[in-house]
Amino acid sequence: MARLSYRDMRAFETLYDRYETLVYSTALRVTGDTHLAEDVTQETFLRLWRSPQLYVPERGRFGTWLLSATRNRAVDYVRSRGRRQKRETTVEAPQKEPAASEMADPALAAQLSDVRRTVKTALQTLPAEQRQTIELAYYGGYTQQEIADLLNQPLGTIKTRIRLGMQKLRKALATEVKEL
Amino acid sequence: MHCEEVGELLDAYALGALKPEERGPIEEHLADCLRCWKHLKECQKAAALLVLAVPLEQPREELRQRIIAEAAKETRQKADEPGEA
Repeated sequence: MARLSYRDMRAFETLYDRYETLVYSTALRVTGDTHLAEDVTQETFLRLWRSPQLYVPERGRFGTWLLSATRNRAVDYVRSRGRRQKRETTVEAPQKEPAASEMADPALAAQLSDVRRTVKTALQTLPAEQRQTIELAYYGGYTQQEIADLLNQPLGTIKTRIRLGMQKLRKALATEVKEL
Repeated sequence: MHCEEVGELLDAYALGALKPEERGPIEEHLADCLRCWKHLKECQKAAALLVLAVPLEQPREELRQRIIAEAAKETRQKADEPGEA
């Protein structure tokens, strides 16, 4: 990251190669549109290139920060265009995920694969309605009220689903949360 | 707002599921309440991990070329600006 501050293009390319799949996949999950996902990916990386100081190490790990920033940007994109992602209710698995060895940075992929498995398992073990509500909020960028309208459920029900679901996730991911 | 009311909304806050008018009073409370602020940090960390559950898909190679070229172009333009070395 320090090398980015000196406008080191090689450092930027290395960083891009390490995170391109994760950033693009995050953007695609939120937007549900390959063109929008590419735009979000481009803006996320160029923003970092222009202002590497946006990442403050004291606030957590770089990878998690970058992906959260990607998610937030993607939600802004979807909202500003008045469009809604198509993959609203489930985490769809693609036909075949790239294996760690196929990714540009297999070491990073392998390092993240355990955490990814734990997070996916934690989500899958939630009751379906809690998982769906949390996914709509986080990946869809919907507010509680919008989710209530979308699912035709009382707002109180949605609030409860989010609270109970996230309580369970915090418990299931306690080790991973500590390491962030 | 009281800690109990705020505590019930912090997960939704961390997920980005609150409207701006709902966030305001929570943020006012958080500015003065270390306990709720610490709780929020835990909620935010758990929410941030959700991003790792997305299915992986590889972008097109053309995207890499586009982004690297744009970064290089911006750097050249900046170098050409008056006052830049």
